[in-house]
Amino acid sequence: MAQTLTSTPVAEIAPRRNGRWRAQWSLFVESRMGPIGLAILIIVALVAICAPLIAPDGPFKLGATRLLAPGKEGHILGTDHLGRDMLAQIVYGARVSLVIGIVAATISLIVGMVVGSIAGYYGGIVDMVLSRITDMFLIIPAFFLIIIIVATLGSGIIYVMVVIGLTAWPASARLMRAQAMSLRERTFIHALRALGESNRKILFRHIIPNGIQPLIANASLDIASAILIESGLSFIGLGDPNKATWGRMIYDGRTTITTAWWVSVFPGIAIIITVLGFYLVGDGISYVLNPRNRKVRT
Amino acid sequence: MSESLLELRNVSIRYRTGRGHVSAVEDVSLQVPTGASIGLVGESGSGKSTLALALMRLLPQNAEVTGEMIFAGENLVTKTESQLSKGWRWRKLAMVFQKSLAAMSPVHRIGQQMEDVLTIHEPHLTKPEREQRLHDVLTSVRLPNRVLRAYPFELSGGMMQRSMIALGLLCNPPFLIFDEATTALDVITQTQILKEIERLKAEYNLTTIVISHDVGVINAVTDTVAVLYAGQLMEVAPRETFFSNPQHPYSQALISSVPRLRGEKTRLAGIPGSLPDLTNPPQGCRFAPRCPHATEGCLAVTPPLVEVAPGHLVRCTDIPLREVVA
Amino acid sequence: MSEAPLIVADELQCLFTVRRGPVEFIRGKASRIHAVDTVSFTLERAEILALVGESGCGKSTVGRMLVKMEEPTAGALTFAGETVNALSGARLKEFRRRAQMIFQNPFEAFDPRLTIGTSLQQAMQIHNIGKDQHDRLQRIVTVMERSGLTPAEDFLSRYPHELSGGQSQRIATVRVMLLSPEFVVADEPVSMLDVSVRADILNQLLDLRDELDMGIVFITHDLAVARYIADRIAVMYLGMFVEVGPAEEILANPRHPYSQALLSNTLPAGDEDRITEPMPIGGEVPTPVDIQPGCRFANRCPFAFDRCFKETPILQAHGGKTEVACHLLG
Repeated sequence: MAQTLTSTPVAEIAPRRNGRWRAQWSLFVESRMGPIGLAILIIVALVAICAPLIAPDGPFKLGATRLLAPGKEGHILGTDHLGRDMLAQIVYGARVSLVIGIVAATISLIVGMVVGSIAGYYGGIVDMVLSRITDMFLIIPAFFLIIIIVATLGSGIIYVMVVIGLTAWPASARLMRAQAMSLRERTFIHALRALGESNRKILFRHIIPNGIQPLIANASLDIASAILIESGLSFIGLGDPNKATWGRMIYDGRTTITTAWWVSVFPGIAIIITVLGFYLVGDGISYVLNPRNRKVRT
Repeated sequence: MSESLLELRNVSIRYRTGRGHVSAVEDVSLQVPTGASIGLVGESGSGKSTLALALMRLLPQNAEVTGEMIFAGENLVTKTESQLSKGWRWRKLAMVFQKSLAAMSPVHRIGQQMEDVLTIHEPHLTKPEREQRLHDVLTSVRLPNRVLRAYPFELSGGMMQRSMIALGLLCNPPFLIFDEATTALDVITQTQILKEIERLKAEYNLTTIVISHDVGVINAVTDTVAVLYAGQLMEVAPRETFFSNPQHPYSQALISSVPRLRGEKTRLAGIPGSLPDLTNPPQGCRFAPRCPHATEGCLAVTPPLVEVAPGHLVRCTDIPLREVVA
Repeated sequence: MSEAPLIVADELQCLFTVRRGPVEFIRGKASRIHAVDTVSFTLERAEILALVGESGCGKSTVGRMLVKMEEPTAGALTFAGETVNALSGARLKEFRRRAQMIFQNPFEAFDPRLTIGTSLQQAMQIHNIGKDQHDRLQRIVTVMERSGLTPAEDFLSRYPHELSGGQSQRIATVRVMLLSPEFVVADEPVSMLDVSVRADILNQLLDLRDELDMGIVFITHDLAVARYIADRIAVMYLGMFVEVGPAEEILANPRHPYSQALLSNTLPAGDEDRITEPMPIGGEVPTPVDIQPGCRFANRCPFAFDRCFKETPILQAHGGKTEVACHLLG
C-alpha cells in the first residue's frame, strides 16, 4: 500500500547515466571561454592531422624564390630565407608543438599525480619527504635546467619533452596532495578502509579518480607553457634542428625581421592562438570545478 | 484576533532552476501576533528556511515570491533593497543563523564587526553610545566584555551562538527569527541558550519565529507550532495541543517517530517514502503519497486549512470525518 | 564458537600529541590531549552498548579504536578471544570483515563516481564473498529487500547523489551486512537524518542484532535514541566513562552528576516526557589537554568537594548493576 502510493522521488527521474558528466559539460559550455578554446584546439589539431593534405610538399622543400611576401606565387604566407613555404612549415610545426605540449604535460601530470596522491593520502613522514622533494623541484629555475640539460645531452625533441615534463610536475603534485588530503577525510574513504580495502587500491581506484579534475585543468596550462618553453629553446638556438618548430621559425626570421616580417610573425601568431586555446580550455575546466558555479541540487 | 505584528498572506516561493521551477513554499498564510513565539517545524526540504530568508528578503536571485508579507502594516514583498537595508533589516527584524561561525568574518574582532553593524544601521549614534550598546547586549546574553576583543574562532560554540544572538539584538528589533540557532550545539549548551532566548523574549518584548527540525526545541521555546511539509502549511496549533493532540497525520507521524525518554518502549515507526519532487509537486495534499489515511480525493484537491478549534488549523480532508477532541 | 565475550576493552587509552608554540618545540615539551583515557568494558554477542556524551568526549575515538581505525596508545583490545592490537596481514583483513563500522554522514558513504551496485559488489570482492558477479548480485538483492529497499534493482543502478539521506544510510548498513560481521560500531548514524527516517535505521540495526546475534556499539549524543536502541549505556565525559549500566536504570536513576545534567538538559519531545527541571551546569566541555589528577567534571560539578580535585574517581558499582565514577557515592 505504502509502496504503491510512494511518489516518484527526485532520483528516479534523473537520467540513468551518471548525470555528472552532462552537468559538467553544460557548465563548461556556460563558461563561454571553454568552448571557444576547445574550438580553437580542434581546428589546430585538425590542421596538424591534415598537414599532408594542406601542404603536400612537406615543410622542407626549398623554393626558388626566397623571402617571398605573403600571397605571392601561390605562397599564401610567403616563404623564408631558404624559399621554404611558410604555411607548410606552420602546419607541420603544429604537429611538433602539440606533441611536445601533450607529452610533456602528460609526464608532468602522471608524476605529479602519483607523488602528490601518495604524499597527501599517507601523510606523516612520507608526506614530509615527498613534499620536500617537490619543493626542491619547485625552486629549480626550470628554464635554465632545461638549457643545461639540452646543451649537454643534445637537443633531440625527446629530451626537450621529457625535461619539460620533469620540471613541471611539482604544481600538479601540490594540487593532487591537497586533493588527497581532503579526500582521505571523506566518509567514503573511511568506509573503504573499515571494509578492509587495501591502501593501494583506495589510492588508485578512489583517491586519484575523485581528485584528478583540477590536475586536468592544470595540465592544459602545462601544455601551453611547454609549447612556449620549446619555442623559447628553439628561439635561442637549442631546439631540435631536424624539426620544423614554430620557435625555430621565429629564430630563423630574426635576422630578416626588418625586411621580411612574415617569417617571424606568422609562427608567432600560431603560438599565440594555440596557447590561447589551451588557456581558454583550462579556464573552462576551472569554471566547471569552481563550487560557486555548481548547480544547486534539489 | 489580537493585533498581528506579522501576517503572511498566501505566500508562495519558487526557485527557477535549470530543471524547471522548484515550488519551495506553497500558499502559506500565517498570523504572528505581537509577543507571540511561533515554532516553524519541518524536515529538510520543507521550505522553513526559505520562508525565513524570504522574511529577511535574503533569498537568492532566482527566487520568486508571491503573496503578501505584512509587517507592522507594510508589505515586505514590495520593499526595495535600499528601503530594506535602511531601517528594516536588523532594526525591525533580525535573524540568528545556525552556522554562526560562518556568518562572521574570521579576520576581524567580534567587537569591530558588531560596531560596524551599528554604524551602518544607526549612524546617529556616537562612539561612546555605540560602546554602551555593545556592552548592554553582551550583558543581556551573559557574555563578558572580553568577547569584543576576540576573533570568532577563539570562542566556543555556545559563546559564539550567544554573540550571534547579541548581534541580532543589537538594534533593538521587535522581531527576531532563530533559524536552527541551537542545532549545532551540545545538549547542555543548547538548553542554556534556549533558556536565554526565553528570558530575552520577556526582557525585550520580542516576537519570535523559531525554526527547527527538532520537536524538542519547538516544545521548549514556542507557544504556537506551525508544521511545514514540502512547502505546505499542514497544521497550526497551540503548543500544548500540538503535542498532546496533533490532528494532521504528518504531525502525528512526526511526533511519534521521535524516541522517548520515559514511558513504555514501543517500536518506532518512520514515515515510509520520501519527499515529493518539488519541481513537479503532486496535485492535492503534498503529504498524500506518504499518508496512511490518504484517499483518492487527497491526491486530487489540496484541502483547505480549516480551523478545527480556536487557534488550531489543520489542512486535511480527513479531519471533519474524525472526532476532533478539543 | 567461543565462550569469550565479543569485545573486551582493557584500559584503552588514546592520547594525541600536539606541539604548541615554538618555545615548547625548542624545549621538546609537547602537550597531550587525552582523547580517551583508560576506558574498560566488555560487550557480549547480541548486546547493544550506547556510548553517550557531548562533542569532544571521546566517544567516536573509542568507536574507531574498537574497529582498529585508530590505534590505542595504551591498553589491550580483545575481539572474540583474540588480541586485536598487533593484528596484521590476512588476520587483520579477516578482522576487518568481522568488525564493521557505520558512519555519521550518509551523503558521503559511497564513492560518488560509482553506482550503488558497484560499491556494494566491491565490498564483497574485498573479502572474496560470492562465487561470481551473478551470485553477488543475488545476495545483494536479498539483503536489500530484507531491509525494505524494494525494488532493489532500482537502487543498484543509481549513483549516490540520487539517493536521499535515509536511503543512503540504509544501503550503507546493507553494505556492512553483506560481510556478515559479528560486531558493528555505529557512529551517530542517525544524527544527520530527518526524524521521520531515523526510526528506519534504528529498527534495521535492532533487527540485525536479533537475526545475526551481532554486538553493536552505538555512538550518540541523544539519550532518547540511546534508550531506544541500547541494552546498556555508557556516559562519557572528557575521555572517561563516568557511568555505565543498563539503559533503563540510567534513564530512570542517573547517579553521576554529569549523567543527571545530561538527562535533565535533554529536551523532551512532549510534556509527559519531562523529567525534572534542567540542572544548571556552568561552562562548556573543555579540551582535555594535560589532564591533572582529580575528577574531570569537578570544576563544572555543583556538588564537587576537596577530594574531587585531588583524586580521580574509579568506576565501581554501588549496589545495582550500574557502575559510577563519583566520590559522592563513597
